[in-house]
Amino acid sequence: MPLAKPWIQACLCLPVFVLAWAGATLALTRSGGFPQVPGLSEKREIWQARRAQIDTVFVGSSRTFHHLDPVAFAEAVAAEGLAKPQAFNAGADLMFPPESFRWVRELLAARPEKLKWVFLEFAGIREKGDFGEGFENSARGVWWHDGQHTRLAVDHVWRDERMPWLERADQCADHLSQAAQVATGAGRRGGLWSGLLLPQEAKKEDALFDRETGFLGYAEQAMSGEDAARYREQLAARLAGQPPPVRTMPADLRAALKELAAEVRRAGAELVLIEPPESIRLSRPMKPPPGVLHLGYNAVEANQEWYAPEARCDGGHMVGSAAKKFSARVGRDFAALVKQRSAAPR
Amino acid sequence: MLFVEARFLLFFAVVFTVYWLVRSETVRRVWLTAAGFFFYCCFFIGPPLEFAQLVGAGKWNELPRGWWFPVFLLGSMGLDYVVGIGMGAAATARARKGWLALSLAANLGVLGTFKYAGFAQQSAAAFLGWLGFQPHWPVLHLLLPIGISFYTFQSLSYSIEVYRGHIPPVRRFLDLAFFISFFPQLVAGPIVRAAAFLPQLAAPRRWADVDPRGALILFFTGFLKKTLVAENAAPVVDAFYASPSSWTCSSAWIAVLAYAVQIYGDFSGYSDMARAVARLLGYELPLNFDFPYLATSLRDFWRRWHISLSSWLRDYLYIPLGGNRGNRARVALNLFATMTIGGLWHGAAWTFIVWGMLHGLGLLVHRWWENGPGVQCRAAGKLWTSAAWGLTFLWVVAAWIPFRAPTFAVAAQVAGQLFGAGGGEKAFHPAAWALLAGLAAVHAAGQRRIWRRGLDRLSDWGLALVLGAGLAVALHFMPMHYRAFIYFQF
Repeated sequence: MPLAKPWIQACLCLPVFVLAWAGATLALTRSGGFPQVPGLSEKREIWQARRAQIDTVFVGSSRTFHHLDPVAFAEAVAAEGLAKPQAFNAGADLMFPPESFRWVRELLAARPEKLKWVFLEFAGIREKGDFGEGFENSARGVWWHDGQHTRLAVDHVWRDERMPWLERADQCADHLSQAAQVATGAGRRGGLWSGLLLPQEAKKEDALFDRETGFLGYAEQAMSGEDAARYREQLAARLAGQPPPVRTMPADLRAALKELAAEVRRAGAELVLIEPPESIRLSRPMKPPPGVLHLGYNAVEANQEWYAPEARCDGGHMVGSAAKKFSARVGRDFAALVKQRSAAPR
Repeated sequence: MLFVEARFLLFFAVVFTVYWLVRSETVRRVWLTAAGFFFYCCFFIGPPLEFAQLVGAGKWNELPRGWWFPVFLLGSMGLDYVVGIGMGAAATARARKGWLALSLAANLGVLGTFKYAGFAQQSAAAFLGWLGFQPHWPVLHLLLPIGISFYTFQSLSYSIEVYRGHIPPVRRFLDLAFFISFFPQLVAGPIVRAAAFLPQLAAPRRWADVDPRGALILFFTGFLKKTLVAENAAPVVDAFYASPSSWTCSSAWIAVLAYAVQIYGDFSGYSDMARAVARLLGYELPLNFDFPYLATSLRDFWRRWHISLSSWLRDYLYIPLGGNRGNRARVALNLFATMTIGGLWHGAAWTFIVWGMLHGLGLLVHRWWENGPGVQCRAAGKLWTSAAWGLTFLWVVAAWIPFRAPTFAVAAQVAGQLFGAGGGEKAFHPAAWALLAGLAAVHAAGQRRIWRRGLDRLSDWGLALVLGAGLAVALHFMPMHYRAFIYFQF
């Protein structure tokens, strides 16, 4: 029977509407699984299929995705007398904290049976504007905005007093709206028609990596001409000057890393922070948190071979052959670290 | 700020709440006019706080391009207000005509400059180049103020209606400003006639007269059309039109049909949401779409598609040109010219003009047929109706090809592909046919009011449940990036 006051009726209908919305959203999200995220969805599928074999995983940005070859790494580790790891590169272009933290958690949620080592690229939290609007508002820019990681991003932005407050507010609002997008499932199964109708090759253009290892090396095309000359100048200028001081990790990142390391440990694995060689401008090591294994290569002065113009296809990335050598070096250093650790008194 | 965006819903929640809390009708109109300007400004100024900061710091050069466009809106209102007052006070018919000429010249002058000057210049240069001249003119790249075609026609309807004596001139500037800046229809219609809207201002709006249930159903219908239909069809259409020659013949058919679906879902979805928002504020906007793809003739189609524009063109262009009066050639010319101008209204490009011409041509053929051989065919009953529907639909779909294609070369390529000429190997999944057939069935059921009757039978609780679950489904399956409404560009 309709209530006498229409507004009372409306007020009572509102919770029904909200509950129906929330219930249906929850049901759709649960039944839909991981959203379609270019660069990640396919890696996640492979990860799930091979979760009983993989014991080592690499997570990070292009400097992980294109620089850490699991095959070269595993061979180097085996050559040092340790068991040959079954490694997989789960890195993706532009993957930095908090997204990389969320991605590690997503990988752990698949309950990998043999996982022993999680190599996480050790990088600061990138701010909005570092990637370009097209990326930030894409499925990749949005998917990781759950409560925990949005809070980390928002806290970090809000405390960064180098930015004017309006810009900080704007960036926080963007993160919050993306969190709302994730919470409401908006666009989660978007492109209904294109997903169904477009030919397969049009949909999987981004999945060019090796399905066995997850790795994709850059082509053997070293810098040449003006680019190489400019790069040499920058390199020479950097080597001629004083090396920049070690960066201090912001408190929020340190706390988040500590929490992540504990979760990795609970999953039966160990977190290894790795700092691959960055561009010359960003080449500056960061002090790792105590108690976490760390492999640092992000200092021009100490790692000149990875910064040689011949090893680079652009200012920030190595060519495939240099990446293989780098992976072998990481494998050797990692083996030494493991040996040192097992020899150390507990 | 699009109707499907969360920020619009937030904006509307504030506007709606304050509007109904206020008792004074004048204050309400001031509030809605201010909201209309704010809504319009949001398309040009970017984030309002950032804009305010730039203005505060006096960084005029860093302001977004076109931030001053709302001035045109204000100018159009101011001019037509003065014109209306002038006409009211004019003692002679000649003076009234003078005032009307001023309104026409100023409104169409601004529209012409921003929308058509660059196009006219390029067309003239191409023509002179073809003749052998090499004109060296500076290239005009004017930013088009969003919604200018809509509010110009709306503003003009006021001057014309006052001139014809259908309505008295408004005495308060606020009323005219409110009519033109009413945000539900400001940027993409429906094109509201002054004679249909201004009388609604005579009596104060009462919440008791509002049908919120009907308005919510209408808004939700529009939301589904935009998010589930138009936005999902768009990537398929875009993929095809990016390189038509690489797709198969059947894919060409799927793509042109998908575009027909996309543009209908997009524009009628917008119109539904606009009408719903207006209803929630106590105002009625005209019906803009009435199941156009079920039309059985082109004339019928134009009574169902973008009704507010087709009736505007009929009353303010076709009839003044002479309409059905005069000999056959004259009537044909009136009809063809009206449709061609209708095409040009959509955009400054020859492809739009050709789209209008195709409809003009189709209407002429229909006119000839109806007055001649068609008389006998009509006796064939349902069979004839089905054939008429099929022909009309095919003509409408074919005419969308130049409308969507970026160039005539692409349009010709696509048209050829429909008949197997050219084309490549890429193909859409055959499930597309089932999808299109399903949408056709939904459209046909809509005309029989099957969906609406089903929703009307629900209790308020049941409706809340359906809308809540439906919203979740729509949000889930809408693309992550929705496009602006297609008609915003016109």
